[in-house]
Amino acid sequence: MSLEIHGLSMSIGSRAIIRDVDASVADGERVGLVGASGSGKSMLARTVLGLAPVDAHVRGSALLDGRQTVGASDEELADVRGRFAGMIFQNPAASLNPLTAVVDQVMLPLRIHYDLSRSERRDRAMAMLDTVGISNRLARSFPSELSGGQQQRVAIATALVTSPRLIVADEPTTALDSITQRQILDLLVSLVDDSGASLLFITHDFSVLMRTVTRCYVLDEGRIVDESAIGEMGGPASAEQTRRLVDAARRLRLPSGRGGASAPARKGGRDE
Amino acid sequence: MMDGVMIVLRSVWRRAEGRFSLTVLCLWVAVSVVSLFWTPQPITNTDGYHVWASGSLRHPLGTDGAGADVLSWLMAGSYVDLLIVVATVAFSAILGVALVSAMVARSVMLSSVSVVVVDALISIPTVVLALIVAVPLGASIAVVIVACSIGYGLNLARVARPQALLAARSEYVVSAAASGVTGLRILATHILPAIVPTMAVQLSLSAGTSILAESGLTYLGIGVPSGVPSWGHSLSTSASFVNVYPFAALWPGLVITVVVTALNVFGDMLRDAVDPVVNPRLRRDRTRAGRRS
Amino acid sequence: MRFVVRRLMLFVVALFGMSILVFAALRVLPGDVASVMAGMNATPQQIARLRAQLGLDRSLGRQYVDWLASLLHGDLGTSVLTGRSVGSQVGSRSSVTFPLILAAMAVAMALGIPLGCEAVLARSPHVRALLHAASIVAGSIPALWGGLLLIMLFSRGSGLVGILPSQGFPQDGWHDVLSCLASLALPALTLGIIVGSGLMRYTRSSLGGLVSSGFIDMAMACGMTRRRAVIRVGLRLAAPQLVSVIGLTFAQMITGAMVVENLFALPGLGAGLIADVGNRDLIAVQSQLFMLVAFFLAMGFLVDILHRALDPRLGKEGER
Repeated sequence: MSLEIHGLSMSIGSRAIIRDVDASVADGERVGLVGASGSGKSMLARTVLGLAPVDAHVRGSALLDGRQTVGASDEELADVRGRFAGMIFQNPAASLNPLTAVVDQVMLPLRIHYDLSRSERRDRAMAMLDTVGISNRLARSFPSELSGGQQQRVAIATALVTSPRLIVADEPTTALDSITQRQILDLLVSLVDDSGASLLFITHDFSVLMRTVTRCYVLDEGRIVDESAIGEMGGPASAEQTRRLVDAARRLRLPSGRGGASAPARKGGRDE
Repeated sequence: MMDGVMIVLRSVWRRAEGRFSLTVLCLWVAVSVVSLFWTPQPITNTDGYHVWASGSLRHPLGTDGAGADVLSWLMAGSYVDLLIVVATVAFSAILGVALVSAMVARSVMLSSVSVVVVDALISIPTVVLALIVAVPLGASIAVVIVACSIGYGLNLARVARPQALLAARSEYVVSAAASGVTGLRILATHILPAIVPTMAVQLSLSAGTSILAESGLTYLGIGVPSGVPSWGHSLSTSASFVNVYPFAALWPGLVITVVVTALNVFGDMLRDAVDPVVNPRLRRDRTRAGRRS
Repeated sequence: MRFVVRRLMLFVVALFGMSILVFAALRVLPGDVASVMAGMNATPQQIARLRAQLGLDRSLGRQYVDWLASLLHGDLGTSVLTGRSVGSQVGSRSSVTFPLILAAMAVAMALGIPLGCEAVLARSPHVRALLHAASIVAGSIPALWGGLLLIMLFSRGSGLVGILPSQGFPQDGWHDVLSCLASLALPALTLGIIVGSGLMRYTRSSLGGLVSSGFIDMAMACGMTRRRAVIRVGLRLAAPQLVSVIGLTFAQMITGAMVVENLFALPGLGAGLIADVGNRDLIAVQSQLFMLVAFFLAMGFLVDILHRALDPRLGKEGER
């Protein structure tokens, strides 16, 4: 699914979050969106799919396969989400419904968008969970009983179960330790490639970006300051922001996984 | 501590509804103090020929069923209600702090017994507590204060317990305990400060509820005894004549509603103002003072 | 399961403790109950007879055990004033109070939960602020005044739109259902609006915390609109706490119910108990107070169990 963004701006009150952004993702392409925290990269993806805060004021245009999403009704946007566009969030422990078994979470997009019997839905969800490496036994447990990596696998299964044409992954590995991070990235990339879907991958971490995308936009204070193919990134950086980020990436490589994968999971499980 | 209070009050004042509530509350205290020395008419002045009179120059808010001045009674009542609120807040704070302290005590016996007591008693309504006190002792201001203090003290303990537990398990406290600091000292320096914000919010909400409780209990004949001015008393006396003099009930009800609204708004704003996440000014103050929790 | 057993034990112990408290409260009367009850002009013989009738001539311990034993047999004692059994009095009064409380709860939930959702979901920030303000003001109205205002508005005869009765309850009970419901309408509305405002505030604050959370994002990403996600997932997530609050509100409603019953002259439990207190009807007050306490303790017990059942996370994290 192609995504064409032209002159997109978003503000909350008098605060401009996104300023006049032009960007595109071709059908089947894997594109990164990189920037420091607070640069508006998450908000950009959310705005396109109608997940921006209620008070957000959006101008410009964002076309999904030619369909305008700016100014579309809540119902139209909801119909796109989970059917044509799947989303994966940063912290699965704080996003998977803690009161339902994970298989029910995976069944949710099917229940909303497709007229299937319960057993059909269940079979598909189980198969999808199996693909991401969650066994049938684990499928019946609650999110709080799984590790952070397993939870993110469930989130990926939920995003992919309807075979969407666009996947938006918002820092999907930031909450994970480095080994799990790598496994999840490889899983995500192979699944996206197999399905032929487009991927919009949001991160602040260059080393993660190199494993996942072929091209990326650099965002700073809501503006796109640079765009390049991933191969060129290591070369002489054009914009100041890119240079800073690349420097940071060289220094840091991966964030040290303090506390391991299960720490954020347990914390999230108690969140109300 | 005083710095923190000023910062919080200033954040409340900054918003329109905060100004409303602080103004109403200050006015209330001022009227209460004035009523001790002066009311437009002595409250014992009755005039059998002018009962249920509507407003006039002599009686701005009219007269009640005995011909006494409604405004004077409301002014005198504001003092009694202030007394009830202050006493209830003080006693429920004491009870709440005692219960919270017991609940986070290192003695398993003490903590589990207090948790059990709070869990069991929390569901008993104020009016039943009031009845248990009022049946043997008769209607009095003390009944209102005792019943409300017990009820709100229990509630306070229940609400503040999670924060107190969190503080009690912090590394700070664990290391302090390991280095031999006594339990009471830890309680005073680490645990109680942690629950002060929650307590402030709960107490200001309880203050509003105790005014409502006063009016309810007084109407039921187990609160403020007849002859003692209170808002609940003014409201109750007009209640039986609502079909004949519908507007008599207007003023006391309005006063109660406005003051309780002010207290509730204040409590709501306090919730935001004392939250270092929401209120950056407080955060700056905390780090400057160097006492991070 | 262990939790249920422990909570049940707590319930029984609390019930026992409260029975002693209620009993003691009615025995620390300054002066002699019997002489107060018998009145100023009673002869010593009359007072002695009353004492015997009340069982006050026996030892305190004996009185307590007898009372408890008869309670366990379902015998609430006999009213000294009317000679009727307290049990049957409570029965007929319950047929007014329970429908009143249920109707008020229905009004409260029908108003509080949808309006609480709306206070979070409404597009216009002005509507949200207005709903929030309305909930605070409505929660600050004394039940008595709320009732008076509704009487001024709707009372048959004197109200602006005089369509509903504001005094009394049909003598023959629930024979004429319509007129019974009509006489419960204003009291239930009074109570329901006040309780509903509390429920609304609670719904608003718990959903407000959830509305920008990952759980709602997730449900939206699966294809729900924000509104549907908040109502389906948000309300479900808030349900355990909401049920606790509703349960406790139920208990706290009795204060309002007593006021409202008195105001609207309904022959319910609250008004009856207050009348018995005024008459110093010792046995009746003692048994009814205990029944009330037992009811609320049971309520607390049920709410705790329900809270557990609604939140699968709690059961697995071990006992608190």
